[in-house]
Amino acid sequence: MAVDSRSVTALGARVLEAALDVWRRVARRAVIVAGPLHHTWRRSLHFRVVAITLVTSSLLVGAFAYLVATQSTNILLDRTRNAAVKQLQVDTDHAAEQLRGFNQAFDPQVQSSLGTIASYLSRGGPEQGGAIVALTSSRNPNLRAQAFDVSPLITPELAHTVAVDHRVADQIRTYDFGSGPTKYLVTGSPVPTGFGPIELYYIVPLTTEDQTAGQIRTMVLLTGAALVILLGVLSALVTRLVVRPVRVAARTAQRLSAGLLDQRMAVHGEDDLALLAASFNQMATNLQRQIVRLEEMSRLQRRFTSDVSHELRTPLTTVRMAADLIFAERDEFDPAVARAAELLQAELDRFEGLLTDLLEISRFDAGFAMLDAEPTDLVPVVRRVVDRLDGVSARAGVPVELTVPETPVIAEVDPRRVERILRNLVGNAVEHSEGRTVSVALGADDAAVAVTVRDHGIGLRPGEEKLVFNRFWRADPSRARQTGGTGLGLSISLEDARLHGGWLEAWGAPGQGAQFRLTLPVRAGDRLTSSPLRLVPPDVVPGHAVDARPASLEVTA
Amino acid sequence: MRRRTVLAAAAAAIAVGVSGCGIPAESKVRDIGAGPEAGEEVSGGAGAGPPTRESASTKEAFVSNFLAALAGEPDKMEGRLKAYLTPDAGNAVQAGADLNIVRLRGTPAFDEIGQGTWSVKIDVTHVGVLDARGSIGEAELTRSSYTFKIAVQSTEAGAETWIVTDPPDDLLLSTDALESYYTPRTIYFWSRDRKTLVPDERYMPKELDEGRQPTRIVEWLVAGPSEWLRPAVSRINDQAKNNQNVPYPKDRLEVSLSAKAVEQTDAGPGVDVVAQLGQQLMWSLRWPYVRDGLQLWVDGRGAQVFTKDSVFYAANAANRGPEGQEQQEAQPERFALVDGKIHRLKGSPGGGTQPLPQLLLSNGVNQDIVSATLARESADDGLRTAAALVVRQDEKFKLRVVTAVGDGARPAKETTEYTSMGRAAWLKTPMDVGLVVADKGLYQFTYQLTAGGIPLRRVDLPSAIDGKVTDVSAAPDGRRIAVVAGGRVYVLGISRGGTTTVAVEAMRPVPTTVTNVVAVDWSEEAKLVVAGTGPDGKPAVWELSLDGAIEKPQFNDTGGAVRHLVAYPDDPVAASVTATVMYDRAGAAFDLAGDKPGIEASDVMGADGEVDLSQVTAPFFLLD
Repeated sequence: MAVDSRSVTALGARVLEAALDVWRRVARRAVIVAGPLHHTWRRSLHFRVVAITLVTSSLLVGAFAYLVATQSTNILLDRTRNAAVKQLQVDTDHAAEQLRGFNQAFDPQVQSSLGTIASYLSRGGPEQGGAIVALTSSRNPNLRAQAFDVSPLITPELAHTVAVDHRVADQIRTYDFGSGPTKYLVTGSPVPTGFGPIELYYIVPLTTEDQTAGQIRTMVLLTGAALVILLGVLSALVTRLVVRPVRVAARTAQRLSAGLLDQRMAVHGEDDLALLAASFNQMATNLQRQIVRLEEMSRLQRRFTSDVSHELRTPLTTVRMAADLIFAERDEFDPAVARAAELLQAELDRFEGLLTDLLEISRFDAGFAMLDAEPTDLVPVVRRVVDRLDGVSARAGVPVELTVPETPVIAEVDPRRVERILRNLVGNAVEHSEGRTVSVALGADDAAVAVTVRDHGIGLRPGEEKLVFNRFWRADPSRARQTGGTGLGLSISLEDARLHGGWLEAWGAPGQGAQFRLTLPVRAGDRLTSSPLRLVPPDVVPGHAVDARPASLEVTA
Repeated sequence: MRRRTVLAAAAAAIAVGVSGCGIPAESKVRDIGAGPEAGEEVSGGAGAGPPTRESASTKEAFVSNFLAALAGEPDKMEGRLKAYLTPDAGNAVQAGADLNIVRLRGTPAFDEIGQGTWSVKIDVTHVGVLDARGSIGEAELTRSSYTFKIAVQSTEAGAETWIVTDPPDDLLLSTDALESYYTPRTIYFWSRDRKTLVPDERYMPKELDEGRQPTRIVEWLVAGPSEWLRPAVSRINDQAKNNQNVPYPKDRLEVSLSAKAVEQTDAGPGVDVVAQLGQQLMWSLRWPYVRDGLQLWVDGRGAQVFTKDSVFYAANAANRGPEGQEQQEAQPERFALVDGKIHRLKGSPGGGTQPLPQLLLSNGVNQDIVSATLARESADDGLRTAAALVVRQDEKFKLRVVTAVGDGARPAKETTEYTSMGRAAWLKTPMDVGLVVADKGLYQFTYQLTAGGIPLRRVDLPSAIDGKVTDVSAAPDGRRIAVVAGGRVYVLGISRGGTTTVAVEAMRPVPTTVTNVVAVDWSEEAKLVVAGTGPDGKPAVWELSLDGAIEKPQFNDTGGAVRHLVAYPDDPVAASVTATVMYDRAGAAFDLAGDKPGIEASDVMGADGEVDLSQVTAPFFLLD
């Protein structure tokens, strides 16, 4: 017995180790698999429904299968036990009767009678798969009869229960008689005799029961697995039925939002999904109609602006020539009239500028603006802009600082448009700097060039960073348009920057002035990722920095 | 980490689930209920064995004990013998030697040959050899005396014990010990024609637990009949034993035999072997083991129950009716001869007032008779009565035979004349043949319807029977006869060929103390009464077992030699202790059943005038 238990312990340890090893491998694999799985879990409703169905049905089917298998095994075992107890009773009666005549345990015929009884009652042996009957005597260990040495099947506990407590008891044991380990049901009963009690053990192999239990288990497992798979497939199919139209709707919506307004969903039948598709299509149709109408209106409006501008040119030219004539002769007029002639001249200049800007804007709106990019050194361009505005700044008493790199900054740009942007920015800065210095800086790296224009005027209130690029926007509407400006300059500049694939951004803080930054890609058509210069100037008082975020990212998108 | 724990738990749950729902490899001990209670207690402990060596307090008792030492179970014989012998003498004991039954003649003679040493001389008669099957066979030795030496031995306690230092040459068991330590048991075998059971006497050691005695009897049955009887009876297949014990005590005995039991080669067609086996077992185990019938299992199947029904009582021809009060009180019809005529005796049922049987009333039948045999048997065609009358006419003897079925008597027929003729005997089952001693030879006869006389045909006797045959009698089963030849008694087993021939199949001499036996008859199915000269030289009537081992004087008479002896066999199921015997000698006839053995004149019924007692001869019973 000691050898047995030791080997069992060793076997157990080995099995445990092997199981742990397998578990470690499975866990590692699971981690590898789980990452993508998690991703799929979040992305796919289909996957999620199938997975939940599989897990839930596995649990349910598993519980049910366990119940069925356990119950059927118990029934099998109970039947065998009852049969064994009945047979044991018959055998015990037989043995008691056969041994009734003996009064002395040392009678040699007791031993031979025991042998006869055991062999008579035994139905084959372990090889034949029949029941074995063994007779032992706890009081007289020499007195025993058994066709096979079945002592390893009879545990001391069972022997004690039967021999000492005088009870009928059974126990399941596993033993190998040479034809592989087999489970045995060992049922024992004391046999009353005239020469002291002996014990009879009826040992029946559970081979058939074990096989049947195994078959039931396999069947239940297979059925369960099939059921789970079936449920999985079913849920996949059903979910697919629902998810596919949703996916189609999503795709259609994506296409719609991408501008393909004539995308529609196919409508099948009259169910909820058909209703969804029909409603979606209805929505798409309405949207398309609205958008087309708005586009048409917008086109008409732009056309109207452009036409009006053109149509105003010819009379304006005539008016201009007349005004020029009057302006040239103003010295001969009454001073009031002369003043009027000067005003006329000035407003005509403004009007002309406005018309030019309107035409420019309408060209952008019509999409006719073309980029005429060529490799240009930006240093002379910046210098030229500052020089040209020298007179204006001098007149306003604003010093303009210029910071440019020593080396040429070459970029593929349209120099005319860049110059127009810079002129606009510097002009605006000079106009709003309230006599303080305006700083212009040029920076460059491998991918981009940038120009910042900084003033120290009243600055911008929070939120105005975006508004400044709106057409005809003014920081203070009550302020008169003394300083010229059509209100379209920054809008046009923004369009120019956009045409380059560049950014035009504004920063400003009340009392700390404002800074505008123009960033352009070195090679035309490249995508910008960063700017060589900072949008927020370094001299900003930190506490006053209301919003340090590059507010105009959206503008440039 | 948490997910891993959950996964581990799930894996464990699946593993437990898959393995947990099968049959476990090991389980705890499950208590089902209380064990069975002990059944009926076996009466007593082990039976009485012979006394031990140390139990004798005198040297006479020691010798007596020594001659009983071998009684008991054969497999313990050697050990018991060695206990009586010194180690040196014990080493010389041969295992498996025959156990000789001897009858002591006189008391042992002690001769002191040294300090505390005696030479013991015993005079013996060899009676037979007891074999392991409890049967006493014919004696092989004829030695008449043995001498052995015993010595005194002191035990540590100071008591004196004896020990045998030089044992006798043979293993000896006295007949007294046989009677003390064995119980006679009659077992039965079917006759060769399977019409009746034939008894076979055995000796059961009292030492054997009572609970195992039925098993022993079944073993004896399977092992076959006694050696001498073997040719005359049918056997059970000796493979019939299936090693099952016969549970006893039990209300209904259960005997289990193997399938071979029904394979009996000598069973003719139309014989229900199982039924016959059952009756054989019933009769063999009848007393004292069968209480409420017997159940016979052949090869574990076809359990058949046998009870003491009419079939049971009919199976043994020696039995007349069911046991009970009626049978106990039944008296045989008694007759005697007065002046050559048959008269009823008063001891018959009804005081003997009834007329004589019809067949004796025909003209010329009931006269000149010197001895008569009257028998009755139920046959298919009715109650058959037969008379075999020895008549003397002109100093010549002949046999007159009359038979009747119901009241229809057939004409009397006679044989030719012989110079001497003894009493005739009818063989029963079926009662169609008779035996008679004529001219010192044994003859058979049968009643024939054809015209003319009845021929006597000689019966060949084994050559071992030398001398003149003087008397013959038939056992109630009609399968054994006893003859007296040369003053000695023999028992013969016979077979009945066809319906009318008799052949002797088996023979054994019956050793007896009675010498010069003149007459023999059957007092029980396995016992004889003999008349002859007793050990004191006077006439004696003794009852003996067929093997001669057990004998008992019935009557000692000083009058004169017995001429004629008849017995009425007791039913085997009857609990009779005394033999029903009548005999005559010169001048008187005796009925041993009554208080006064002598038959008085007033006992003879229907006689004319005063009866001369000396003329009352040859009393006989109506054997039914």
